Amino acid sequence: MNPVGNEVVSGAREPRDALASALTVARGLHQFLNLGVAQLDAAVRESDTQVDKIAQCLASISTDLQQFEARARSEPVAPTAMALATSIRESVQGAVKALQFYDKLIQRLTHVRAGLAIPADATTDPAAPSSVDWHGILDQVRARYSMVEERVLFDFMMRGLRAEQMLKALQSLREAAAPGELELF
Amino acid sequence: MSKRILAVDDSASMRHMVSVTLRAAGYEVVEAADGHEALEYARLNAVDLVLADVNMPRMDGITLVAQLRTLPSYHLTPLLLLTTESSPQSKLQGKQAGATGWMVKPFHPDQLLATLERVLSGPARSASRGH
Repeated sequence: MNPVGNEVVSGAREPRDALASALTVARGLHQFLNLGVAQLDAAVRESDTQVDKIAQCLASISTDLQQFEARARSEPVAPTAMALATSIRESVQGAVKALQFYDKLIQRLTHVRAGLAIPADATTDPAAPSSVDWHGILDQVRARYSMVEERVLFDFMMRGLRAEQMLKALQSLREAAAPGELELF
Repeated sequence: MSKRILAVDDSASMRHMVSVTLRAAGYEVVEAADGHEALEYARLNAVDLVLADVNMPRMDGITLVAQLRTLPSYHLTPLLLLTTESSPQSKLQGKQAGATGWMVKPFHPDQLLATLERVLSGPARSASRGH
């Protein structure tokens, strides 16, 4: 055997193998990103329908309660019934507040979806992974965020900070941004 | 006559939550799924107050506010933004567009009603109907 010839054959095969391996990884990542997008779409669609039903039920309870309260103003009603109505009204108000977290969750998931779909769309040609502008993709993903929390998390992740540091920063942000906070201009 | 509120949000569940709260307090509520739909309605109908989300498809809440302020009948109408956003830059954009106020989601029903009462009771805030 010629050791020099062996080196030549081996040297030619290794870059080809490496390229084939990189292409397989790129294709796999592309499919994986699209899978994530599809899974999120399916989950959001399904939960949207159910949460909308809950919201409609809540609206019906509130309407019935209004009718009862209107009737109670013109007809004599037992004090226990009025107390019950007040209690139901308070429960409806609590549910109204709690259910709004779904809206925030959906916004977050929509942005996670964009974070998967944007790189997936940009890598439709897995044979040319080197032509992908990753900085541009990251800028596009970040631009979709509408919550300060999301931007902070993104920046921390990109700077390679530790999870504990991120959680600490997010906690102080949550405390600073009080829900229901009103600013009149 | 009850005050008419235009509630604008692309999330159906959020629109329901706002409607439940406002209708229970005696307001008339009209719903729109985005800024474009809201603007179309507002051009043809009078409303006493607009309560809009910021991030919506087709037309966002800040653009809606800016567009409404160009309409003579909406120069003094209270336009509130109700959103998950709380960054000072976004609030500044809302203020510059002509919003009356900025409220961070999730809202507490009593808090929202108190806010509406406050801005609607302003001397020059009531909308003129029939335009």
